[in-house]
Formats: sequence, structure tokens, C-alpha cells
Amino acid sequence: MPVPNDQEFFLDPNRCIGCQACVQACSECDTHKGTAMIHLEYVDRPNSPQTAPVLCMHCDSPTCAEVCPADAIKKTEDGVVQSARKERCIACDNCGLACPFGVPKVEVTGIELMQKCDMCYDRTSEGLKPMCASVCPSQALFFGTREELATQRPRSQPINDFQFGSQHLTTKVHMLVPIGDPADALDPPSLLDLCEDEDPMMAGLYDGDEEAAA
Amino acid sequence: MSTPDQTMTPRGQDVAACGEREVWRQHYPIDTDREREHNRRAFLRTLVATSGVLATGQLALMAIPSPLAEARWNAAGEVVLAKRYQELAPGESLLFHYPDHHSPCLFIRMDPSLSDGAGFVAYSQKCTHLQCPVVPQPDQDRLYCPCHNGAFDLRTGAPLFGPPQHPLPRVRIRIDAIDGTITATGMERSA
Repeated sequence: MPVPNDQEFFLDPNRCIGCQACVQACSECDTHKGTAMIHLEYVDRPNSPQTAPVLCMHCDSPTCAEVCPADAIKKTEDGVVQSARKERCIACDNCGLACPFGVPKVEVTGIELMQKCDMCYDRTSEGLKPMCASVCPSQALFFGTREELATQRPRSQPINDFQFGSQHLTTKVHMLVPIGDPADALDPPSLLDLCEDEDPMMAGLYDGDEEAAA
Repeated sequence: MSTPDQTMTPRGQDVAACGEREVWRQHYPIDTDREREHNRRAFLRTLVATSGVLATGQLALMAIPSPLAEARWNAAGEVVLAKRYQELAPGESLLFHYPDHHSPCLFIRMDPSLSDGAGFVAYSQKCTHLQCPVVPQPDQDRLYCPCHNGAFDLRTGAPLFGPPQHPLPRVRIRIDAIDGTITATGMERSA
């Protein structure tokens, strides 16, 4: 049974209060006991306690699956990108390196295979909400219909269109931004070019920080 | 610091939106619903169908009668050929195996308009150079070996040109005067 079409996942990092409830709830799950498939990113840790939840955005054309050499990552017909199939995954971590959102993880799962957020497929395909969305006290993680969203958050608009350098992505999970906020494009390669250091691997480690401060 | 260009060309735009995928990606699709096109059952179906076609082909080949099938060995260790003398047209040749099952021989009824007197000849088909099968060419009065462009005289079996140095072994033939059955009775060296 697929995930219902009208039920969608909305992510509002503005609302995240850093309580880690989603992380705890996620790691309760029996399919990956003790390991959370969601994590909280500190946006600017030295200066702010602000966190942002990071979970799989379920891309329409998933980069992780495109780069998988073992054909292990599959997208179901309802648009949910599943965890790597255990019998196929070779733990090469290509997916983790390729994902622009930094979601798939190999080393932290304890089974030495790639595991990632599958939007609690065992729950959502049965009509339940994902665990993280059902425990989030501030509803930074919201799973529901567009109508609910429109009535509860009239000043937010969902976007699912992302530009990473030259890579363009559309996702199943939506990010909520204030209405009228201009979309930002991130271009990491061009930022690397700004560094005077000739070794791109060292960029940002020494000179980059000074330049950013200047 | 320049700001990232927002009107940047989406070079890495997903290929699915740009039309048909590469062939290998069609075989290894990311979407599970398209995965059904190349599944284990389809593979097994192809496997069974291919085996079936091959097996049918083998049976069909077995059904085609061998030109040697009707030649038979008699009690004296002689070979009675599949056709009778009068069933062979002038210039026609007949293949048989003598003195064992692995030695092809040729019986050739001579064309009376070309040959002077001799009614028939029979030779081993193995070229005396390197055992290639020779091809009778009655209109040119010779047996030709296409392997190395050699030839033998049709009437005597003597080498005409090319690599062979020795004549073709001749097969002794007995033709029944009443019903015309052709029997190979022994081998002899050609003159």
C-alpha cells in the first residue's frame, strides 16, 4: 500500500527548538534500533543554538540512487526513496558522498551498510504519520495535507525546488519558507574557486576562513 | 566575493525530465514499478524460450534424412549403396562410406557423351594431400579439391595439378546385372 497522495511531509527549520525528540523517537524504531535516521544540524554553533532537522528529502531523481554502483537504492511508486537493499549494498558510501543534503550514512548504522530515512515507510504506507513528525512538539516536522498547512501556517509557503551549483533538484519533502522570501542558490564550486590555495581539498581550512571573516 | 549566479544553467538537471533514459538505466531502473520490466520471471521466461527454440532446432535437424542413411552393410562387410545404377543420372555422383563409417567415398556415373567407354568410377573422397573432401566436376573431367586448389583426373584418379602427389584410392564396385544394385567390395590403389 503506497503512501497516500494527499499526505505530505513539510519541514520548517525555523520552528526547530533543538529538543532532539525526533532523534530519540527515530532511534526507537526496531528496524534500526539505537540509530537515528534524522539528525539535528547546528546552523551556526558558536553564535547560535539554532538547529535544523535533516532527513531524507526524497528527491524525484535521487542522486544517491543515480550514483549507486550496486543498484541497491530504489524509489517506490509513491516517490519514497528507500534504504539501500541489504543484499545489494556494498557499503561503498558513494551515496553519502553524492547526496547534496548529506543524508545517507554508512558508518553510523552499526551494520556497515547504508541506511537512511525512508519516511517511516512501515507507518506511512499504513496511513500513520512518520515517528519524527508525530513527536515534534513545535511541528517543525509536519506531516499532513496542504489544507491543514494552509489554515495552520498562512505565512509559510512550501518549496521543493533546490539548486546546488549546477545541480537542480525537486523533492517529495517540502521545505517551508516565509512567503515572498527569495530563493537562494548555493554554488559550492564557485566558492572553492575564490580560494587562493591551489589545492581545492585544502580550501576553506586555512585561507578560506580568513577570507570569509574579511 | 561574487554572488552565485541564480540564472545558472541547470547542467545536472535530472535526466528523467530530459526524455528517455540510457539503455543501461532502463535495465537497472531506480523506480521499483519500472523494475518489474526486467525481473527474475522475465529472465527465466527468456531462458526457457531460448532453450526451447534450440531444442526444437536440434529435433528438426535430426528429422532431416541423412544422404547416407540408406546405404547398408551386408554380411560380407560390403556396402550396398542407397541408389541403384539406373536411378543415377549420367554425371550424377553418390556419396557413401567405405571401408569404414569415417571414410567418405564417391560413386560417379559417367556422362557417356563426355567419357569414352567407362560407365562409372568410384574413389575415396579424401584428397591425398590433406584429406579434404574432393568435389566431382564431371563437366571438366576432374575431381577438384578446393582446400589448396588441387585436382584429380575423373577417369583415372591421377593428380592433375596442385599439391596432391598421389592418385585417389579407387573403390572396387560390383553392379548387379539384374536389378542394378551398387555394392562396394574393396579398395585398390589407382593406376
